[in-house]
Amino acid sequence: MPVKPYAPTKTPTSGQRHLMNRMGCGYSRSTFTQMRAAGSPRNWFEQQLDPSSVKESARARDLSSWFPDLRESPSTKWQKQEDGTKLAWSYAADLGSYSMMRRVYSRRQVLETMVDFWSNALHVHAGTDLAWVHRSSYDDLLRRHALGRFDDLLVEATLHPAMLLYLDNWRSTRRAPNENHGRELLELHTVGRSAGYSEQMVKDSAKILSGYTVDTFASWQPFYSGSRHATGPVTVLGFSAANSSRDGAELAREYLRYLARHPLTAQNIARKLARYFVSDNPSAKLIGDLAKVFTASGTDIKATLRALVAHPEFKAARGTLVRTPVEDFVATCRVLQVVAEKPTSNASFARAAIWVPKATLLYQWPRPDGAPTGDAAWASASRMLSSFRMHWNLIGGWWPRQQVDYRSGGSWLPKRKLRFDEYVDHLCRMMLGKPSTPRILSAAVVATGCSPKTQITKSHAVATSLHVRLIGVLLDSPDHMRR
Amino acid sequence: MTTTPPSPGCCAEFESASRLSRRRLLQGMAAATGAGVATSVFGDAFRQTAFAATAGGNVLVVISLRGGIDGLGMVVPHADPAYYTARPSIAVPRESLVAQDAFYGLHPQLAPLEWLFTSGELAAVQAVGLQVPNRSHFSAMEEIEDADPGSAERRGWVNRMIGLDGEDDPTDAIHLTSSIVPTMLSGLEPAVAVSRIGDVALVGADDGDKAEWASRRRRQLDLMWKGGSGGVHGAYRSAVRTVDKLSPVARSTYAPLVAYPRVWPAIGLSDALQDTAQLIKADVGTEVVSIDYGSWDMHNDYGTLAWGDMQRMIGGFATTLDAFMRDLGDLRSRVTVVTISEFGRRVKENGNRGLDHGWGNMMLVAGGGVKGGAYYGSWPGLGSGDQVDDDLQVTTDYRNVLGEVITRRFPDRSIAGVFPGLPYAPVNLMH
Repeated sequence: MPVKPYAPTKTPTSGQRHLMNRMGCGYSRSTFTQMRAAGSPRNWFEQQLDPSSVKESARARDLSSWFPDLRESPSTKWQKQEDGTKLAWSYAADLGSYSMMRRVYSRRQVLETMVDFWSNALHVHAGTDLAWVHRSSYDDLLRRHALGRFDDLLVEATLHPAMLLYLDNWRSTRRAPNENHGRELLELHTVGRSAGYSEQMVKDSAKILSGYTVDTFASWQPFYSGSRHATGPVTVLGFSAANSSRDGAELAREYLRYLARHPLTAQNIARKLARYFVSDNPSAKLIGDLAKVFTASGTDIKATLRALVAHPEFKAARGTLVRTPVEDFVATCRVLQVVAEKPTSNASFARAAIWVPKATLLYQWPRPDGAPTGDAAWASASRMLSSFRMHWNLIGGWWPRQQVDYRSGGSWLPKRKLRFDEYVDHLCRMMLGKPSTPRILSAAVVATGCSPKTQITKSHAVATSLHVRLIGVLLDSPDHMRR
Repeated sequence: MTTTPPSPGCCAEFESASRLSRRRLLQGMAAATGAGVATSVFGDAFRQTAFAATAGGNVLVVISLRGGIDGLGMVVPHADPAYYTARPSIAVPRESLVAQDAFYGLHPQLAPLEWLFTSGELAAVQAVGLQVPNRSHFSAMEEIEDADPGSAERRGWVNRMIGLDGEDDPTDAIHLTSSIVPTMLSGLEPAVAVSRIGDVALVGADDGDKAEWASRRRRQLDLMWKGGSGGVHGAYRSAVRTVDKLSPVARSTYAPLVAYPRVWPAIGLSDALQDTAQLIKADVGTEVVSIDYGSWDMHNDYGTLAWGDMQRMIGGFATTLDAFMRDLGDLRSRVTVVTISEFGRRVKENGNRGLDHGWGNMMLVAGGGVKGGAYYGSWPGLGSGDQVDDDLQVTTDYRNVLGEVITRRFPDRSIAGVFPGLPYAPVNLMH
């Protein structure tokens, strides 16, 4: 079926679209405009790497005030949970919804993407046991360092009370250092299991970290306790120390910086970046190339991302990664230009957001290894059925429907009257960022029963009762389900 | 079991399925010999025929009692005085216990299930769990459901189990009560997770859609997803297969033979078990149904027989399972129900009339193939020298209970395939 283009609706090049979909939270008209204003995709990316240089959207600036409870002190949060005023799950839901709204509305798209990346690479469950009281300040920390240097990030994240609570380091005592954190630090956050560290090294890792604890069930403030620090010689993968002082605070920092700069950490972070941004099965060459830059730059995250974006394997891998349900939600809101308003209840769009993707709640993956990406986790039957339903709910504005503006079907018409095939082409450009294809046009014809020549106006069924079916063709498609 | 494909080139999928389950074999034979179906082997008509022709597959229902149930309060060791010493205000009095033997008895709220115990269809195992204590909800659940301690791959035991049946039907294992696939079902083999069976539906080609629009929607999607392999394309095909297979069930109104409880806290469990009964009666070939029922994380307000969360939650469980088992009628002989929980709770009660996280726990096994009316497991004692960090010791690896159920009810699945590296030692609770 030959496509009749609707040329006035400009589209990004496939390279521009790729950059928005991979390094940002998904193609949108506003990011396309932003990219064009930057002069070139390269300029846009450079601006994005310096988020403070990018003027934030008004809505994104307001978001923090939409979720005031997140700013309460840890002891207030705990007290509210104790007296039943507001429970841990509700704070966790707030953080998830807040983060999803940021991804939809922020103009600092690369920052938001990297916050997601680090939130999983250095995962702290937002609703679990005790860590939840500090989870929103942990999010602030990840934001501060997301585009900085990994060694700084690792030190701060490891010693943050949220992480100390999540991985039990706060329980460590001089006689019985809790090995949970010491192990995950090696396995998940730095060198990886293939580094071949011994059980003794895990114990030494725990010894080094012991002493960093939290004043639980009281002020909830982190503090260093020399009496909880396990002294005695330690050796972990080439890092050795006599560790004779009761004050091991600085030793732990040295150890963390050592691990951050370890060549196997470079490999591990490079692999995670390559999986997140390039392919479920990245090549050894890509991982090696990124690891080299990571190490040579002193664990500079920006330098590593520049190398990633310039890499031929990144450029070649267009539209091949499955979107996670959360990414799908964000990308869908962006193309549909859904406008959330300040929430007034849990049913408001901005606060209900976390429940909409119908998958593991954002920042609530049940294990310390962080939520997965890729086909193995997300290319499943139930996921497809639930994402299709989510698309229709959002296209139709059916749920969540409070404190939100959805665009009506008729509002998408670019002029008073045009042919169906032109309209489909226009919608493709708006929703997918590219012109229609004969296949898409045929599917649109099948879905609506229109002929390509049918004249569409605001009162036509295609702009009213069939609107959801038509947009459904575009969003329930491989093009939109992948990035 | 091996077999020769009935006719050469009948279908590649059949030929490749060299490891055949009985069901798969019958499906293949129906394809080869059934009049008029050989030409559209994988069309809907064939499916209906094949499934109708292969009635009688066994079903495993796994109920996850999430939050860490107090096994000592469910299956009470009334003859161990240390139990009563440790719980001055919340112990279950001996005289109230049902289905008593000389050592154990069941919480009185389990009375609705006593008939199953008496008829030999309900057994309990004490002191089961993970080999090494893990008192974190999240990581203990992961460990229990992954059940492959030697491997970094995140793949659950149910996923491995359905992977051994020689086919990749996404409805082999279904999780109800939430749309998130739990760890035990996660992995290579497609599996379905939905809150209700009624959720298995393709938006736009649904109950409420007129036939013409539903048909247009399906054709539109098939067109958009044509070609491509693996990844999202494979997922799309799995999704429509699931819908084709389950939507007749999902759309039909189910009329159970008995009334299920409709009161909190059992509504979710009640919905899920009704859906399960419906699936079993429709005989769509699902082998494993997974259901969540919780939370059992009773750090406080555990309560007594007169009040509190424990008696209320057990009551919901027992009345609902009772309805399910009665509703199944004779089909019960095909269905085995197993309960599991990530850990047991402390022996000693805390200052809030509750119980903190512990280790050893109980499991209930009911239905087809169970040597019921008995208590199993080796009791480690609750004396001060017998507890580990104040917890009930584990004397039976939970995998051996599951392993025995699988071995007896699904004899074509290898225990080493489902629980790699397990030193298999059955408890002898199954016929």
